[in-house]
Amino acid sequence: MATNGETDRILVPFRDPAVYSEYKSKWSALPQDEAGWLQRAQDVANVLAVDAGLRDQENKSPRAEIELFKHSGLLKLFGPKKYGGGEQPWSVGYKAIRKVAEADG
Amino acid sequence: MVFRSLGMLLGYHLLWSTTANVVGTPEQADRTQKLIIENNYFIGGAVNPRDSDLKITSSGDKIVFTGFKHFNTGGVISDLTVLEGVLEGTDNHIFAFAPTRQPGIVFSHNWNNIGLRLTESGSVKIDNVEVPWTDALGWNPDTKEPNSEVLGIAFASLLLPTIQLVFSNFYLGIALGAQDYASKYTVKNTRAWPFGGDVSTLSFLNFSG
Repeated sequence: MATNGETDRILVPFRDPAVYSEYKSKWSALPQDEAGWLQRAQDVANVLAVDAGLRDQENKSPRAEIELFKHSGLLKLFGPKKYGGGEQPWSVGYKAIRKVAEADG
Repeated sequence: MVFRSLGMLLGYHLLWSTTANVVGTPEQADRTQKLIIENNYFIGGAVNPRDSDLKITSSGDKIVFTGFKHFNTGGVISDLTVLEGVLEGTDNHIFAFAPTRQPGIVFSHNWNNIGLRLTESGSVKIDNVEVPWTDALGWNPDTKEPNSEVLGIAFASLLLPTIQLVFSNFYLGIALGAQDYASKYTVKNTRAWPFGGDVSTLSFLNFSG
């Protein structure tokens, strides 16, 4: 099945991103320092760890999980503060990656 | 069974999101960061070096990417895709961001792997994807030549060691997570062999068949 980027979202199975909608407001404020960012990464890891095994078996497109990342602010970890990013260094990024990988590679 | 993939997706995104900082001009880096951060975009890439480079042709004020990549981590669920190819008639490589959802980016959805299953690392066909010359990272859109102040220095080679360290860190995370899971499993769900408390030699022999 080959599809372009517009239609694949309809044809490929994925979980409803709304399963994580509660975190949009819960995590609306961006962390301010390394400790805060690593805590946020741990919070995300804890959410993912709940059903990591089930999600592996289902093998669905991780659209909902990407939405969870977006709610968490982690995608903006390095971005300039003037555009709403966390302006953190790679050392913090690597630690955040490790925390998420501990729960869900 | 605990499974691992999302650390890898986060790691790739963080790497791709800094591409313009490494191989772009300061103006491109600023413009790209504004686009990614203000929109909270997730970034994928079709840059795996195991395949041939994408072919790039110049067409007026645009460059056009064409080719095929067997692996493209995170691309399917991304907002922007990093493309990389070689400009026709030269040995020069160009990196550029393109919107993922367009007819020229065609995913095969053929990733059903053992391990890292949710990374959506299947193949992708790049079919005449157009990008403005002004978005050719580290290139001068007027002369259509690489800017040696950006691409001619060692800093521009840092994408590779940076992604290798991403790998190291999600591998480390996977190992630490597995160790933690195994230790909890051992404490909660297992007992000493054969039934716990029985360490006689005879018993051992009986049960070892």
